[in-house]
Amino acid sequence: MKPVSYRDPSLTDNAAQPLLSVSDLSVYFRAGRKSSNRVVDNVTFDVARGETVGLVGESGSGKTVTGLSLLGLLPEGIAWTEGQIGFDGKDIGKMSESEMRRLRGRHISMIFQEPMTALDPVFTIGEQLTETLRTHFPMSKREARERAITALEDVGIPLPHKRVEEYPHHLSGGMRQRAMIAIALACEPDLLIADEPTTALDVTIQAQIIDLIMKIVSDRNTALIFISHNLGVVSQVCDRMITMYAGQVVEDSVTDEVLEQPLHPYSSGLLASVPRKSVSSSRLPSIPGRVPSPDAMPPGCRFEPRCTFAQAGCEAAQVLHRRADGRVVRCHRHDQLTLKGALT
Amino acid sequence: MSVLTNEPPAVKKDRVPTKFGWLIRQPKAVLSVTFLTVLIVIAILAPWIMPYDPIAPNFGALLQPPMPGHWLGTDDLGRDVVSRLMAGAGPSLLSAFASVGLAVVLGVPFGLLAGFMGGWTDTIISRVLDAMLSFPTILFAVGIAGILGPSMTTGLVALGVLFAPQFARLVRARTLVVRRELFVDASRAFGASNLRIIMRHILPNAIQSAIVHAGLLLAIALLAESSLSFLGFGVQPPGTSWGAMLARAYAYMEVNPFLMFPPGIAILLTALSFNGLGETLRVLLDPQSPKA
Repeated sequence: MKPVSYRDPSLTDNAAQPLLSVSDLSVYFRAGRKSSNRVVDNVTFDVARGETVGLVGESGSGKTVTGLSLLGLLPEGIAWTEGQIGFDGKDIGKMSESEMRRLRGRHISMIFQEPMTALDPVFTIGEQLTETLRTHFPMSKREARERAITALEDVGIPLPHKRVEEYPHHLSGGMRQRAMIAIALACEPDLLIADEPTTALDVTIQAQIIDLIMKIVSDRNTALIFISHNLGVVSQVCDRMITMYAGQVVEDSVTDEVLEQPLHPYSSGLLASVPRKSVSSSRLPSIPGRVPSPDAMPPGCRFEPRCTFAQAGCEAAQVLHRRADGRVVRCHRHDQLTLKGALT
Repeated sequence: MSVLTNEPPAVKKDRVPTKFGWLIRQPKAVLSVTFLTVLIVIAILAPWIMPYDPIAPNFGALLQPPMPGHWLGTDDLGRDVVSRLMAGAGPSLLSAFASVGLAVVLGVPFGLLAGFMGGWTDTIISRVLDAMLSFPTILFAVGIAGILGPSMTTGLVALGVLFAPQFARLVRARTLVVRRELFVDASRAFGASNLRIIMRHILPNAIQSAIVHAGLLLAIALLAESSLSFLGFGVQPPGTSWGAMLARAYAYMEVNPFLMFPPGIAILLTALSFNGLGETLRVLLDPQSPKA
């Protein structure tokens, strides 16, 4: 069978223009009758076609909310956004609901954290795959089924013609995540958002799923936003790494450079807390304290209360510095500090 | 010592478990379905297989006990009880099915809407449901029958309207749970519209408890129909239903108590079958429950 490509010819294949361009994105959650919390604060980043970008940070740093807002999937009436999300030159924020629907799954797709609950228990894998395919492409049931079997084969599910007839509870966690990936990638989207796709899986399966995502993404030149708190995985998967802290971007650099020498004390702390065999210290280093809650943000640098390099001047609000080498960091001492990376 | 041969051991051919195979191994299901099938056949064939005319009085044989010729005796007007049971089966079953069917058609969409939309929609629908549920059932039915005029159709419409809030409540509660499931977000992320999400993902996951409840309500509807007939708002004489028979038998309880048993037992067995059917149907339609 000839491989079918669903790449939309109308898309501008302009390499200079980023595929996704997020600028000054803020997300607010309603916190009471009249008050609201800004959980994502002026986030700005670009993703180029085929680029893989990691979004890292602790729980509560706003990385998942950022991911959901790119698809317009934040709970209506409870959360709202400000700023622009440009996708292929169009502003997602100005799109109507039906335009958004045509975008979701077709051009931007998403893999979720929990493969056990992300599939509908009352429909077979095949039915859920064909549903997505037929939403976006006019095709017969038979054709969709053929395509579904190919999609399952692509994600390495054995006996795909048999698995299309099975229900999610017949499959193991790893197989379900493969099926999710098959559904998410069935329409060959331009951008895939993977929200901690391996967190719920055991370690050997994690490695397989990551290999699978990397392989498919590079084969199809799909851009990837990989949301994770697992720096080991992100450094393996991503070209670039965006570190988020308390709803703000604190560092945006090429992965190798961050590993070698992070610019923000928070990135350095995250790298130090990755367990390594070579380090002989008996205790795993950790960052003291916790992420401030959105209604009690420090007025100045948000990381200052937990930062070991804090000094006079750090209590001022921090802005993003774009350095000559292209790296972006939110710390006024970035020129003075020489921070420990993963490789040093 | 035995001689080794290269012949493979006889492999028992794997039998693929089928839904039908599972079904016929459920005694409750088999009994329910058999009983209801026989009942429906009798109800349909009643005009041809009834031994006597169910509405012609015979004043020579009033309130007879069971005897050859009248296997279940005769009622207060000398009519054969077997014939009247057969004639009453149709109206009884019909009103039960129709009223529960109406309740599902009215209740389920409102439940889905309230649960899915939330906010003001939910508040308004829920308060209306509360108001309806707080009304005494029979009083409400009598009220509706009083406005529309007493007949079997009125009775079943009244029952249907009264049962609807129960389905709406059940489905709303399940919808609230299901709409927060990750697979709903996932299908939205793959481009599904709200309508599709409700019909394809929420309804099939929310309907299961409503199916079981429909089985229970069919039984209650049978009894409610008899209450309405008892009060004179159901099947109008000389037509008959099991409820109407029970109501008449009640009036002659002290003269001939046996008269209450044939319609009473018929209602009981039918109600039990409905319950069995509802439960079986739920298991059958749920792909996650083991069937092998």
